[in-house]
Amino acid sequence: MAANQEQIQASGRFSREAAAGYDRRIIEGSRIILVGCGALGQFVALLLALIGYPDVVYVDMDTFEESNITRSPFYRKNAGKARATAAGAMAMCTATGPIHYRHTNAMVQWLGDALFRADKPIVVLSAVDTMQARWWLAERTLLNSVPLIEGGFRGERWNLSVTLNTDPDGPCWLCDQQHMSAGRTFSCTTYARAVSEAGFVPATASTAALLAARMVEAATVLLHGESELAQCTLFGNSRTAAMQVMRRVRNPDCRLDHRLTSHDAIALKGDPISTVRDLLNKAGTIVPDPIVHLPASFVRTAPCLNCHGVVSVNKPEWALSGAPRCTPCGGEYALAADDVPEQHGSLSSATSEALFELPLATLGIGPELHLRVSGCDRQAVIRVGGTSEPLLKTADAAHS
Amino acid sequence: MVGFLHPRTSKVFEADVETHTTGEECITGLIQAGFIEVAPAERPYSMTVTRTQKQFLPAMRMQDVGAQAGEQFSIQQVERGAAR
Repeated sequence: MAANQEQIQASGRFSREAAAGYDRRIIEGSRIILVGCGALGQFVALLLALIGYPDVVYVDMDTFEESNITRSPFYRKNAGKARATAAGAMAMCTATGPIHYRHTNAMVQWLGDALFRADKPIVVLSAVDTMQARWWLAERTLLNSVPLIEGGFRGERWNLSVTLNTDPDGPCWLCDQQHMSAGRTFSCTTYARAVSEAGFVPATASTAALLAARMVEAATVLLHGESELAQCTLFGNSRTAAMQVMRRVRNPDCRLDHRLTSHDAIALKGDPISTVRDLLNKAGTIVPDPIVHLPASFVRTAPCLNCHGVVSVNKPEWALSGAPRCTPCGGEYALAADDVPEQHGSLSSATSEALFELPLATLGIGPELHLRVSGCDRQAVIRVGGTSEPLLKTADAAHS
Repeated sequence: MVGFLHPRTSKVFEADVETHTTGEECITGLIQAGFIEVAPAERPYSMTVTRTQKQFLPAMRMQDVGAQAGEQFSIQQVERGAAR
Protein backbone atom coordinates (compact mmCIF):
# COMPACT_ATOMS: atom_id res chain seq x y z
CA MET A 1 0.00 0.00 0.00
CA ALA A 2 1.36 3.40 -0.97
CA ALA A 3 2.31 5.75 1.85
CA ASN A 4 -0.39 8.18 0.83
CA GLN A 5 -3.06 5.48 0.97
CA GLU A 6 -1.80 4.35 4.38
CA GLN A 7 -2.18 7.88 5.70
CA ILE A 8 -5.70 8.10 4.34
CA GLN A 9 -6.56 4.75 5.90
CA ALA A 10 -5.11 5.79 9.25
CA SER A 11 -7.05 9.05 9.22
CA GLY A 12 -10.34 7.18 9.25
CA ARG A 13 -11.51 9.16 6.25
CA PHE A 14 -13.61 6.32 4.91
CA SER A 15 -14.86 5.08 8.30
CA ARG A 16 -18.49 6.11 7.59
CA GLU A 17 -18.48 4.29 4.28
CA ALA A 18 -16.87 1.25 5.93
CA ALA A 19 -19.63 1.27 8.55
CA ALA A 20 -22.15 1.34 5.70
CA GLY A 21 -20.54 -1.77 4.20
CA TYR A 22 -18.19 -0.34 1.56
CA ASP A 23 -14.96 -2.34 1.36
CA ARG A 24 -12.02 -0.10 0.34
CA ARG A 25 -10.17 -3.03 -1.24
CA ILE A 26 -13.08 -3.65 -3.57
CA ILE A 27 -13.50 0.00 -4.48
CA GLU A 28 -9.78 0.44 -5.07
CA GLY A 29 -9.58 -2.78 -7.07
CA SER A 30 -12.37 -1.94 -9.52
CA ARG A 31 -12.77 0.09 -12.67
CA ILE A 32 -15.84 2.12 -13.56
CA ILE A 33 -16.46 3.08 -17.17
CA LEU A 34 -18.81 6.04 -17.34
CA VAL A 35 -20.21 6.54 -20.83
CA GLY A 36 -22.02 9.86 -21.15
CA CYS A 37 -21.00 12.89 -19.11
CA GLY A 38 -24.11 15.03 -19.52
CA ALA A 39 -26.54 15.89 -16.72
CA LEU A 40 -26.81 12.32 -15.45
CA GLY A 41 -23.16 11.43 -16.03
CA GLN A 42 -21.85 14.44 -14.14
CA PHE A 43 -23.83 13.59 -11.01
CA VAL A 44 -22.53 10.03 -11.36
CA ALA A 45 -18.95 11.34 -11.71
CA LEU A 46 -19.34 13.46 -8.55
CA LEU A 47 -20.53 10.49 -6.50
CA LEU A 48 -17.80 8.18 -7.82
CA ALA A 49 -15.21 10.78 -6.82
CA LEU A 50 -16.68 11.22 -3.32
CA ILE A 51 -16.84 7.48 -2.72
CA GLY A 52 -13.20 7.38 -3.78
CA TYR A 53 -13.20 5.20 -6.88
CA PRO A 54 -9.62 5.63 -8.08
CA ASP A 55 -9.94 4.13 -11.57
CA VAL A 56 -12.62 5.72 -13.74
CA VAL A 57 -12.84 6.10 -17.52
CA TYR A 58 -14.98 9.02 -18.76
CA VAL A 59 -16.33 8.84 -22.30
CA ASP A 60 -18.36 11.57 -23.99
CA MET A 61 -18.27 12.96 -27.54
CA ASP A 62 -19.98 16.26 -26.78
CA THR A 63 -19.10 19.72 -25.51
CA PHE A 64 -20.94 21.95 -23.05
CA GLU A 65 -23.61 24.29 -24.38
CA GLU A 66 -25.48 26.97 -22.47
CA SER A 67 -28.66 24.89 -22.48
CA ASN A 68 -26.83 22.42 -20.19
CA ILE A 69 -26.39 24.95 -17.38
CA THR A 70 -29.43 24.08 -15.24
CA ARG A 71 -28.65 20.37 -15.21
CA SER A 72 -24.87 20.25 -15.35
CA PRO A 73 -22.92 20.69 -12.11
CA PHE A 74 -19.65 21.00 -14.04
CA TYR A 75 -20.87 23.66 -16.48
CA ARG A 76 -19.70 26.84 -14.73
CA LYS A 77 -15.98 26.36 -15.19
CA ASN A 78 -16.21 24.43 -18.43
CA ALA A 79 -18.54 26.24 -20.85
CA GLY A 80 -17.60 25.29 -24.38
CA LYS A 81 -15.23 22.56 -23.24
CA ALA A 82 -15.44 18.82 -23.87
CA ARG A 83 -17.65 17.16 -21.27
CA ALA A 84 -15.48 14.07 -20.70
CA THR A 85 -12.44 16.26 -20.04
CA ALA A 86 -14.47 18.41 -17.67
CA ALA A 87 -15.87 15.39 -15.83
CA GLY A 88 -12.38 14.04 -15.23
CA ALA A 89 -10.98 17.37 -14.12
CA MET A 90 -13.87 18.10 -11.76
CA ALA A 91 -13.79 14.58 -10.37
CA MET A 92 -10.12 15.13 -9.59
CA CYS A 93 -11.04 18.24 -7.58
CA THR A 94 -13.69 16.28 -5.68
CA ALA A 95 -11.79 13.01 -5.26
CA THR A 96 -11.39 11.81 -1.69
CA GLY A 97 -8.37 9.62 -2.41
CA PRO A 98 -5.71 8.95 -5.03
CA ILE A 99 -7.23 8.96 -8.48
CA HIS A 100 -6.02 7.73 -11.84
CA TYR A 101 -8.53 8.58 -14.48
CA ARG A 102 -8.74 8.41 -18.25
CA HIS A 103 -11.03 10.28 -20.54
CA THR A 104 -11.83 10.58 -24.21
CA ASN A 105 -13.90 12.97 -26.26
CA ALA A 106 -14.53 10.30 -28.89
CA MET A 107 -17.65 8.25 -29.43
CA VAL A 108 -17.50 5.08 -27.36
CA GLN A 109 -17.60 2.90 -30.47
CA TRP A 110 -14.13 4.08 -31.57
CA LEU A 111 -12.65 2.48 -28.43
CA GLY A 112 -13.58 -1.02 -29.61
CA ASP A 113 -13.70 -3.87 -27.12
CA ALA A 114 -10.34 -2.85 -25.63
CA LEU A 115 -12.34 -0.56 -23.36
CA PHE A 116 -13.92 -3.58 -21.66
CA ARG A 117 -10.73 -5.53 -21.04
CA ALA A 118 -8.92 -5.22 -17.73
CA ASP A 119 -7.31 -7.37 -15.09
CA LYS A 120 -9.84 -6.16 -12.53
CA PRO A 121 -13.64 -6.12 -12.17
CA ILE A 122 -15.36 -3.60 -14.45
CA VAL A 123 -18.81 -2.05 -14.31
CA VAL A 124 -20.10 0.06 -17.19
CA LEU A 125 -22.41 2.93 -16.26
CA SER A 126 -24.38 4.10 -19.27
CA ALA A 127 -25.65 7.68 -19.10
CA VAL A 128 -26.10 8.25 -22.81
CA ASP A 129 -28.95 9.74 -24.80
CA THR A 130 -28.70 8.04 -28.14
CA MET A 131 -30.20 4.70 -29.06
CA GLN A 132 -27.12 3.78 -31.09
CA ALA A 133 -24.79 4.20 -28.12
CA ARG A 134 -27.21 2.26 -25.89
CA TRP A 135 -27.43 -0.51 -28.48
CA TRP A 136 -23.65 -0.62 -28.84
CA LEU A 137 -23.06 -0.82 -25.09
CA ALA A 138 -25.69 -3.54 -24.71
CA GLU A 139 -24.09 -5.65 -27.43
CA ARG A 140 -20.47 -5.11 -26.43
CA THR A 141 -20.98 -5.61 -22.67
CA LEU A 142 -22.87 -8.84 -23.37
CA LEU A 143 -20.11 -10.10 -25.64
CA ASN A 144 -17.44 -9.15 -23.09
CA SER A 145 -19.44 -10.43 -20.07
CA VAL A 146 -19.24 -7.05 -18.34
CA PRO A 147 -22.10 -5.77 -16.14
CA LEU A 148 -24.05 -2.83 -17.53
CA ILE A 149 -26.00 -0.34 -15.44
CA GLU A 150 -28.10 1.90 -17.65
CA GLY A 151 -30.17 4.94 -16.75
CA GLY A 152 -32.61 7.18 -18.57
CA PHE A 153 -35.09 9.88 -17.59
CA ARG A 154 -37.68 12.28 -18.86
CA GLY A 155 -38.88 15.03 -16.59
CA GLU A 156 -39.62 13.43 -13.22
CA ARG A 157 -39.74 9.87 -14.55
CA TRP A 158 -36.65 7.71 -14.53
CA ASN A 159 -35.62 4.11 -15.12
CA LEU A 160 -32.57 2.11 -14.22
CA SER A 161 -31.59 -1.36 -15.38
CA VAL A 162 -28.91 -3.65 -13.99
CA THR A 163 -27.75 -6.33 -16.44
CA LEU A 164 -25.11 -8.85 -15.37
CA ASN A 165 -24.24 -10.21 -18.84
CA THR A 166 -22.69 -13.31 -17.29
CA ASP A 167 -25.52 -15.81 -17.67
CA PRO A 168 -26.45 -16.83 -21.24
CA ASP A 169 -29.89 -17.80 -19.96
CA GLY A 170 -30.39 -14.41 -18.33
CA PRO A 171 -31.68 -11.26 -19.99
CA CYS A 172 -29.53 -8.81 -21.89
CA TRP A 173 -30.39 -5.12 -22.08
CA LEU A 174 -31.91 -5.61 -25.54
CA CYS A 175 -34.16 -8.50 -24.50
CA ASP A 176 -37.12 -6.24 -23.80
CA GLN A 177 -36.28 -3.74 -26.55
CA GLN A 178 -37.03 -6.00 -29.50
CA HIS A 179 -39.12 -3.47 -31.40
CA MET A 180 -36.48 -0.81 -31.03
CA SER A 181 -34.25 0.24 -33.89
CA ALA A 182 -30.88 1.79 -33.25
CA GLY A 183 -31.80 4.72 -35.46
CA ARG A 184 -29.43 7.37 -36.57
CA THR A 185 -26.92 8.89 -34.19
CA PHE A 186 -27.13 12.51 -33.21
CA SER A 187 -24.97 14.16 -30.62
CA CYS A 188 -26.71 15.24 -27.43
CA THR A 189 -26.08 18.82 -28.43
CA THR A 190 -27.91 18.36 -31.74
CA TYR A 191 -30.74 16.62 -29.94
CA ALA A 192 -30.90 19.28 -27.22
CA ARG A 193 -31.28 21.99 -29.84
CA ALA A 194 -34.12 20.09 -31.50
CA VAL A 195 -36.06 19.52 -28.27
CA SER A 196 -35.41 23.11 -27.21
CA GLU A 197 -36.85 24.40 -30.48
CA ALA A 198 -39.87 22.18 -29.90
CA GLY A 199 -40.33 23.82 -26.47
CA PHE A 200 -39.95 20.49 -24.68
CA VAL A 201 -38.13 20.21 -21.34
CA PRO A 202 -37.14 16.57 -20.99
CA ALA A 203 -34.92 16.63 -17.90
CA THR A 204 -34.61 18.09 -14.43
CA ALA A 205 -31.49 18.30 -12.28
CA SER A 206 -33.23 16.69 -9.31
CA THR A 207 -34.22 13.61 -11.31
CA ALA A 208 -30.70 13.35 -12.73
CA ALA A 209 -29.20 13.52 -9.23
CA LEU A 210 -31.61 10.92 -7.85
CA LEU A 211 -31.03 8.52 -10.73
CA ALA A 212 -27.25 9.01 -10.53
CA ALA A 213 -27.30 8.08 -6.83
CA ARG A 214 -29.21 4.89 -7.59
CA MET A 215 -26.84 3.97 -10.42
CA VAL A 216 -23.70 4.48 -8.31
CA GLU A 217 -25.14 2.55 -5.38
CA ALA A 218 -26.17 -0.27 -7.74
CA ALA A 219 -22.63 -0.41 -9.15
CA THR A 220 -21.05 -0.42 -5.71
CA VAL A 221 -23.35 -3.14 -4.42
CA LEU A 222 -22.72 -5.20 -7.55
CA LEU A 223 -18.95 -4.94 -7.12
CA HIS A 224 -19.37 -6.13 -3.54
CA GLY A 225 -20.95 -9.32 -4.86
CA GLU A 226 -24.48 -8.46 -3.80
CA SER A 227 -27.08 -8.45 -6.49
CA GLU A 228 -30.52 -7.57 -5.14
CA LEU A 229 -31.18 -5.51 -8.27
CA ALA A 230 -29.38 -7.80 -10.71
CA GLN A 231 -31.35 -8.38 -13.93
CA CYS A 232 -33.94 -5.85 -12.76
CA THR A 233 -35.27 -2.64 -14.22
CA LEU A 234 -36.55 -0.01 -11.81
CA PHE A 235 -39.13 2.52 -12.96
CA GLY A 236 -39.47 5.53 -10.69
CA ASN A 237 -40.97 8.97 -10.35
CA SER A 238 -38.94 11.55 -8.44
CA ARG A 239 -42.06 13.67 -7.82
CA THR A 240 -44.44 11.05 -6.46
CA ALA A 241 -41.74 8.67 -5.09
CA ALA A 242 -43.56 5.80 -6.83
CA MET A 243 -41.31 2.94 -7.87
CA GLN A 244 -41.84 -0.38 -9.61
CA VAL A 245 -39.29 -3.18 -9.81
CA MET A 246 -39.37 -5.42 -12.87
CA ARG A 247 -37.44 -8.69 -12.69
CA ARG A 248 -36.39 -9.20 -16.28
CA VAL A 249 -36.28 -12.52 -18.05
CA ARG A 250 -34.49 -13.62 -21.16
CA ASN A 251 -36.44 -13.05 -24.34
CA PRO A 252 -36.17 -16.23 -26.46
CA ASP A 253 -36.58 -14.04 -29.56
CA CYS A 254 -33.70 -11.71 -28.59
CA ARG A 255 -31.72 -10.51 -31.59
CA LEU A 256 -28.41 -10.93 -29.78
CA ASP A 257 -26.68 -14.28 -29.43
CA HIS A 258 -26.25 -14.72 -25.65
CA ARG A 259 -23.90 -17.67 -26.06
CA LEU A 260 -21.39 -15.80 -28.18
CA THR A 261 -18.79 -14.40 -25.81
CA SER A 262 -15.28 -13.03 -25.97
CA HIS A 263 -14.09 -16.06 -23.94
CA ASP A 264 -14.28 -18.15 -27.11
CA ALA A 265 -12.62 -15.56 -29.32
CA ILE A 266 -9.63 -16.44 -31.48
CA ALA A 267 -7.04 -13.69 -31.41
CA LEU A 268 -5.60 -12.91 -34.83
CA LYS A 269 -1.84 -13.20 -34.49
CA GLY A 270 1.06 -12.46 -36.77
CA ASP A 271 1.45 -9.35 -38.87
CA PRO A 272 -0.69 -6.38 -37.88
CA ILE A 273 -4.06 -6.26 -39.60
CA SER A 274 -4.58 -2.83 -41.02
CA THR A 275 -6.90 -3.24 -44.00
CA VAL A 276 -10.02 -5.15 -44.98
CA ARG A 277 -7.87 -7.35 -47.23
CA ASP A 278 -5.63 -8.29 -44.28
CA LEU A 279 -8.69 -9.06 -42.17
CA LEU A 280 -10.29 -11.33 -44.77
CA ASN A 281 -6.99 -13.14 -45.37
CA LYS A 282 -6.52 -13.76 -41.64
CA ALA A 283 -10.15 -14.75 -41.07
CA GLY A 284 -9.76 -17.22 -43.96
CA THR A 285 -7.15 -19.12 -41.96
CA ILE A 286 -9.83 -19.81 -39.33
CA VAL A 287 -12.99 -20.19 -41.41
CA PRO A 288 -12.74 -20.99 -45.14
CA ASP A 289 -14.46 -18.43 -47.43
CA PRO A 290 -15.18 -16.21 -44.45
CA ILE A 291 -17.99 -13.73 -44.09
CA VAL A 292 -16.99 -11.18 -41.44
CA HIS A 293 -20.06 -9.65 -39.83
CA LEU A 294 -19.67 -5.99 -38.90
CA PRO A 295 -21.17 -4.83 -35.60
CA ALA A 296 -22.73 -1.90 -37.47
CA SER A 297 -23.26 -1.26 -41.15
CA PHE A 298 -20.60 0.61 -43.06
CA VAL A 299 -22.13 3.31 -45.24
CA ARG A 300 -20.00 3.95 -48.30
CA THR A 301 -22.30 6.24 -50.24
CA ALA A 302 -25.76 7.72 -49.84
CA PRO A 303 -27.99 9.86 -52.05
CA CYS A 304 -28.23 13.58 -51.41
CA LEU A 305 -31.80 14.57 -50.58
CA ASN A 306 -31.33 17.91 -52.27
CA CYS A 307 -29.56 17.38 -55.61
CA HIS A 308 -29.98 13.57 -55.69
CA GLY A 309 -26.24 13.15 -56.35
CA VAL A 310 -24.29 10.36 -54.67
CA VAL A 311 -22.48 11.48 -51.53
CA SER A 312 -19.34 9.69 -50.42
CA VAL A 313 -19.87 8.87 -46.71
CA ASN A 314 -17.30 6.17 -45.76
CA LYS A 315 -18.33 5.90 -42.13
CA PRO A 316 -19.89 3.30 -39.88
CA GLU A 317 -23.59 3.88 -39.33
CA TRP A 318 -23.11 5.08 -35.75
CA ALA A 319 -20.71 7.84 -36.78
CA LEU A 320 -23.17 9.71 -38.96
CA SER A 321 -23.69 12.68 -36.65
CA GLY A 322 -25.12 15.00 -39.27
CA ALA A 323 -21.99 15.02 -41.47
CA PRO A 324 -20.80 14.77 -44.15
CA ARG A 325 -23.11 16.58 -46.50
CA CYS A 326 -23.18 16.64 -50.27
CA THR A 327 -20.14 18.61 -51.43
CA PRO A 328 -21.66 20.33 -54.47
CA CYS A 329 -24.91 21.52 -52.86
CA GLY A 330 -24.49 21.08 -49.07
CA GLY A 331 -27.68 19.03 -48.90
CA GLU A 332 -28.28 16.31 -46.35
CA TYR A 333 -28.07 12.70 -47.47
CA ALA A 334 -30.80 10.12 -47.07
CA LEU A 335 -30.35 7.04 -44.96
CA ALA A 336 -33.70 5.39 -45.47
CA ALA A 337 -32.94 1.73 -46.11
CA ASP A 338 -34.42 1.68 -49.61
CA ASP A 339 -32.38 4.65 -50.75
CA VAL A 340 -28.92 3.66 -49.59
CA PRO A 341 -27.05 2.50 -52.67
CA GLU A 342 -24.02 1.08 -50.89
CA GLN A 343 -24.16 -0.07 -47.30
CA HIS A 344 -22.23 -3.09 -46.02
CA GLY A 345 -23.24 -5.24 -43.05
CA SER A 346 -20.55 -7.82 -43.70
CA LEU A 347 -17.29 -8.35 -45.57
CA SER A 348 -16.37 -11.25 -47.83
CA SER A 349 -14.58 -12.02 -51.07
CA ALA A 350 -17.75 -10.80 -52.82
CA THR A 351 -17.39 -7.35 -51.26
CA SER A 352 -16.59 -4.49 -53.58
CA GLU A 353 -12.84 -4.36 -54.29
CA ALA A 354 -12.94 -0.65 -53.48
CA LEU A 355 -13.26 -1.53 -49.80
CA PHE A 356 -10.30 -3.89 -49.65
CA GLU A 357 -7.64 -1.30 -48.97
CA LEU A 358 -9.66 0.70 -46.45
CA PRO A 359 -8.19 0.84 -42.93
CA LEU A 360 -10.21 -1.16 -40.39
CA ALA A 361 -10.78 1.96 -38.27
CA THR A 362 -12.64 3.57 -41.20
CA LEU A 363 -15.17 0.75 -40.99
CA GLY A 364 -15.55 1.30 -37.24
CA ILE A 365 -13.51 -1.77 -36.32
CA GLY A 366 -11.92 -0.42 -33.16
CA PRO A 367 -9.10 -1.90 -31.07
CA GLU A 368 -9.55 -5.48 -29.89
CA LEU A 369 -13.01 -5.59 -31.40
CA HIS A 370 -14.60 -9.03 -31.55
CA LEU A 371 -16.14 -9.97 -34.87
CA ARG A 372 -18.36 -12.87 -35.78
CA VAL A 373 -17.11 -14.87 -38.77
CA SER A 374 -19.14 -17.48 -40.60
CA GLY A 375 -18.65 -19.63 -43.67
CA CYS A 376 -18.78 -23.29 -44.78
CA ASP A 377 -21.08 -24.24 -41.89
CA ARG A 378 -18.56 -22.93 -39.40
CA GLN A 379 -18.79 -19.99 -37.07
CA ALA A 380 -16.16 -18.31 -34.91
CA VAL A 381 -15.45 -15.13 -33.01
CA ILE A 382 -12.19 -13.42 -33.87
CA ARG A 383 -10.44 -10.58 -32.11
CA VAL A 384 -8.47 -7.98 -33.99
CA GLY A 385 -5.50 -6.33 -32.30
CA GLY A 386 -4.78 -2.78 -31.26
CA THR A 387 -5.29 -0.73 -28.15
CA SER A 388 -7.64 2.05 -27.16
CA GLU A 389 -4.92 3.83 -25.21
CA PRO A 390 -4.13 6.40 -27.97
CA LEU A 391 -7.70 7.65 -27.68
CA LEU A 392 -7.64 7.85 -23.90
CA LYS A 393 -5.90 10.68 -22.08
CA THR A 394 -4.61 9.91 -18.62
CA ALA A 395 -4.35 11.93 -15.45
CA ASP A 396 -3.26 11.09 -11.91
CA ALA A 397 -3.61 12.88 -8.61
CA ALA A 398 -2.64 11.93 -5.07
CA HIS A 399 -4.87 13.68 -2.55
CA SER A 400 -3.63 14.03 0.96
CA MET B 1 -60.81 -10.15 -14.36
CA VAL B 2 -57.36 -8.55 -14.18
CA GLY B 3 -56.27 -4.92 -13.88
CA PHE B 4 -53.73 -2.86 -15.82
CA LEU B 5 -52.13 0.11 -14.07
CA HIS B 6 -51.56 3.17 -16.27
CA PRO B 7 -47.85 4.12 -16.75
CA ARG B 8 -48.27 7.71 -15.53
CA THR B 9 -51.49 7.93 -13.54
CA SER B 10 -53.19 5.84 -10.87
CA LYS B 11 -55.92 4.74 -13.28
CA VAL B 12 -56.60 1.03 -13.57
CA PHE B 13 -58.18 -0.64 -16.60
CA GLU B 14 -60.02 -3.83 -15.74
CA ALA B 15 -60.56 -6.52 -18.32
CA ASP B 16 -61.48 -10.15 -18.74
CA VAL B 17 -58.62 -11.91 -20.47
CA GLU B 18 -57.99 -15.50 -21.45
CA THR B 19 -55.07 -17.44 -20.01
CA HIS B 20 -53.54 -17.71 -23.49
CA THR B 21 -53.64 -13.95 -24.11
CA THR B 22 -50.16 -12.59 -24.78
CA GLY B 23 -48.52 -9.45 -23.45
CA GLU B 24 -48.55 -7.93 -26.91
CA GLU B 25 -52.28 -8.59 -27.26
CA CYS B 26 -52.87 -6.90 -23.91
CA ILE B 27 -50.95 -3.78 -24.99
CA THR B 28 -52.76 -3.70 -28.34
CA GLY B 29 -56.12 -4.03 -26.58
CA LEU B 30 -55.28 -1.25 -24.12
CA ILE B 31 -54.32 1.04 -27.02
CA GLN B 32 -57.50 0.19 -28.91
CA ALA B 33 -59.52 0.91 -25.78
CA GLY B 34 -57.85 4.33 -25.53
CA PHE B 35 -56.33 3.56 -22.11
CA ILE B 36 -52.77 4.14 -23.35
CA GLU B 37 -51.44 5.80 -26.49
CA VAL B 38 -49.32 4.17 -29.19
CA ALA B 39 -45.72 4.11 -27.90
CA PRO B 40 -42.92 5.47 -30.07
CA ALA B 41 -40.48 2.79 -31.25
CA GLU B 42 -37.65 3.97 -29.02
CA ARG B 43 -39.81 4.03 -25.87
CA PRO B 44 -41.78 0.77 -25.86
CA TYR B 45 -44.05 -0.37 -23.03
CA SER B 46 -42.98 -3.02 -20.56
CA MET B 47 -45.35 -4.95 -18.33
CA THR B 48 -44.79 -6.41 -14.89
CA VAL B 49 -46.92 -8.67 -12.70
CA THR B 50 -47.15 -6.30 -9.73
CA ARG B 51 -47.45 -9.07 -7.15
CA THR B 52 -44.39 -11.05 -8.24
CA GLN B 53 -42.40 -8.26 -10.00
CA LYS B 54 -41.95 -10.70 -12.89
CA GLN B 55 -41.64 -9.28 -16.39
CA PHE B 56 -44.50 -10.02 -18.80
CA LEU B 57 -42.82 -10.09 -22.22
CA PRO B 58 -44.89 -9.38 -25.36
CA ALA B 59 -44.68 -13.00 -26.54
CA MET B 60 -45.55 -14.49 -23.12
CA ARG B 61 -49.03 -15.69 -22.29
CA MET B 62 -50.96 -14.90 -19.12
CA GLN B 63 -50.45 -18.46 -17.92
CA ASP B 64 -46.67 -18.21 -18.47
CA VAL B 65 -46.39 -15.56 -15.75
CA GLY B 66 -48.77 -17.37 -13.40
CA ALA B 67 -51.49 -14.74 -13.65
CA GLN B 68 -54.39 -15.28 -11.27
CA ALA B 69 -57.88 -13.82 -11.08
CA GLY B 70 -57.63 -10.25 -9.78
CA GLU B 71 -53.99 -9.97 -10.85
CA GLN B 72 -52.67 -6.46 -11.44
CA PHE B 73 -50.17 -5.59 -14.18
CA SER B 74 -48.04 -2.46 -14.11
CA ILE B 75 -47.33 -0.83 -17.45
CA GLN B 76 -44.10 1.13 -17.74
CA GLN B 77 -42.49 3.10 -20.47
CA VAL B 78 -38.72 3.25 -20.79
CA GLU B 79 -37.28 6.78 -20.75
CA ARG B 80 -34.23 7.68 -22.81
CA GLY B 81 -32.90 11.03 -21.65
CA ALA B 82 -29.58 11.34 -19.83
CA ALA B 83 -27.75 14.43 -20.93
CA ARG B 84 -29.90 17.07 -22.51
